[in-house]
Amino acid sequence: MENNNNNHDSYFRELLSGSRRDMPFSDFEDELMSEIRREYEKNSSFIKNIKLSWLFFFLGMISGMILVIITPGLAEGSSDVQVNFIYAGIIFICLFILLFTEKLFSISFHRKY
Amino acid sequence: MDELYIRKVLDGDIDAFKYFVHQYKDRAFNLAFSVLKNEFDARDAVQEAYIIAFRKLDKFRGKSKFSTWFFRIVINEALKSSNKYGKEEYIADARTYSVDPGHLEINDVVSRDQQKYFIDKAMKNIPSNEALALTLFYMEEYTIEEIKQLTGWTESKVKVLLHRARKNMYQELNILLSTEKKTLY
Repeated sequence: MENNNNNHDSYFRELLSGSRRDMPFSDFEDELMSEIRREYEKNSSFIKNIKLSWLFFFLGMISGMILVIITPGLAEGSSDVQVNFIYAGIIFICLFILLFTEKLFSISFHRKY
Repeated sequence: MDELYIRKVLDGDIDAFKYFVHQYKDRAFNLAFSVLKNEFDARDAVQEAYIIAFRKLDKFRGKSKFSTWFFRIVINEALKSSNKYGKEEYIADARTYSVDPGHLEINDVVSRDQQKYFIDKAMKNIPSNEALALTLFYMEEYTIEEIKQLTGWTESKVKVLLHRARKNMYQELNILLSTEKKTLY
């Protein structure tokens, strides 16, 4: 049984050794390397954009916090309608920040190619 | 050597990646072709595999050889394309040839070039996963254990596929050779 298997193996090894196929496209290497370079540049600009996104995100957060701190002072002497409008704006900004935090985290730490 | 070039690429020397392209493109193409049975599709699969390997090079931990890791990507890409395009054209039919190596003397019947032609044709006619098993085991000379790692198949699946592949290859070659003999005589 084992002998039979060895026969098969040596026969097939000999048979298939001559039918190996090499890459027939002579421009494959150059084409692929240009594609790789494009990929590298895309990736570099992506990382740069991510850094900028984080920068503006923190700037936005700081501005938001300043707004929250100074809003009660501005609201003094204003009508109820104006106060509600300011608070609605703050809530909207907070929701917006929360939504983008999630997006920014997923892009920065769970990048999928 | 591979480790040195991996380090270079990770340090930003993109041209160092050419080493991997030059070193493994032929074997990668051979593997992809055995699955896809078409030169253009095989080239696309290999190209995609190289791009994935480049993107994920920082995730390569060096637990296995680079070639094993890369060929795994190639096989995955080829099988993915094969499933996407529904490439499986082989239909197992009721041909029941009982042939063993002793009865199939392809070397005596045809010239070396014709032999290559017949083997290519027979490889195209057997299912993709069987052709892949044959390529990995006989052309690339991987062990069953290594094929398991490369394909994610179980040991019994590898053995069954090899058994079927050999049987189907004999069958296909026998049909092709008998047709050739009829044409000659």
